Amino acid sequence: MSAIFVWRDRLQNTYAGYAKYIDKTVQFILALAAFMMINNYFGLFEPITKPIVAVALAVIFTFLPMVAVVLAIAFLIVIHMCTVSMGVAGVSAAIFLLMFIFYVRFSPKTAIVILLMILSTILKIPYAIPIIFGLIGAPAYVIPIVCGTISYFMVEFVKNSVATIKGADGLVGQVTVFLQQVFRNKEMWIIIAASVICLFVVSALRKMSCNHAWEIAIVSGAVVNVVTLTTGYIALNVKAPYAEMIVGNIIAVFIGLVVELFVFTVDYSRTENLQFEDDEYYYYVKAVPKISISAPNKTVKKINVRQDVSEESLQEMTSDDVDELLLKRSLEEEVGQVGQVNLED
Amino acid sequence: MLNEQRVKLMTKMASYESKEGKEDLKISAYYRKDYVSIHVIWTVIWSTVGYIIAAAIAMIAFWEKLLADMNTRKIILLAIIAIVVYLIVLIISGVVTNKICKERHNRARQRVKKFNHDLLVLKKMYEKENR
Repeated sequence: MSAIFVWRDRLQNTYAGYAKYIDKTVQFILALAAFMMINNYFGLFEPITKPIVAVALAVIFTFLPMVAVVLAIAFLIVIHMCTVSMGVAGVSAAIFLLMFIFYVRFSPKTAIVILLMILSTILKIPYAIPIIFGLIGAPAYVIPIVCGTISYFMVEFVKNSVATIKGADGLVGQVTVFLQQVFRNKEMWIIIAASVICLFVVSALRKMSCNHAWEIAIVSGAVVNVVTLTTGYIALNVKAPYAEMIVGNIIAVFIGLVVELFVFTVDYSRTENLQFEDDEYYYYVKAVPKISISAPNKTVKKINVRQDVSEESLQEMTSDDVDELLLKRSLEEEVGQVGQVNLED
Repeated sequence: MLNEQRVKLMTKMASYESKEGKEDLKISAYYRKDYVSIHVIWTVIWSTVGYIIAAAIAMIAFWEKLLADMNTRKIILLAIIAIVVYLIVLIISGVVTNKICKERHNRARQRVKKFNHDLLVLKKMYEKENR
């Protein structure tokens, strides 16, 4: 178990040393994954579905703020929708603009949650995002999670219903079909309800002062997810992907535990309960120490076996060789042992 | 001769100046009331634009239901509902902006105060060294 903490400390030290490069590399990888996944999942506008386009865009957007990646993904989605219907593309652009006006404008740094929600739903693990951001964020993250879910279902509807949209009566008819089908999608509202409740539960439970609060929060979040989703699917008579739901929540719990390892690892066995007072208050304090294990530093000292050297070979040796030999002999005399290896922690 | 304490202080200050300090110094140049007012005005403008877009989308989505049995009374009722909802959206977005901007200004002021204090400490260090 301590090996995990040693590796965690090594990773943190490596990150501390190369944070700038690692951040940009992660941004490049995330941007590349986002562009490729959207192009592969959607794939309606063929000229931009080529991998080289995704790589080029990822390289460009690596040097821009993360919010620019989110805006680029929204623009890419609108371009794909233009091949189906200009009306639908216009309405989608308007919905993205509303998300920008009422949320991204106030908190551009958290816009990445919208993108992560879309990508995780494509990967069938949307349950991970409420758990992760319930642990490390605030209840306000419910807004980008809802925006991300709505964006995904907009994309999914257009992808699966190209013929239906194109067959609708005129531009207004196409837009009406799109809006009604997306915002009346029961599965979307069930996932939104489950994500919101999960986020609030995880956020509330991880702040408790009891031991193992974070583990309790992660598991409770997953259980609440499963219960809410199942109840919603049964109540609204929607065909439920139970296997996908359970596997997705198990993966979400695992991801949550990994996040806890890096963000909040404490040793509950060494908890101290303190009590003291000042002029105004009595203080009841619970102090839980963090776990930090440094990697052991190994040094190896080798002392070679004494070699008998003849006078002829001594004359052949250079002055440097002679100095080294004399140094070795004097070290052997001081240490008094031969061929010893020391390990120092 | 390098003064280790001075170098540490200057490093901390340079790091702050290059990251949060850029935004903080801009924010703290305004009085709190002016900073909040400017952002509330921008929010009112953006909220109006957003509301018009949302209303247009809602009208398109419920186009057929709206056109069915259209009469003057229905039009007046819809107009009243639209105005009331607009006012609610404006009030909520104004209040939220007010709260966020006040908090942002307070935190920026605190950090800038600490930065100014560090500047004074640095100045005293230089004066001490030059004696």
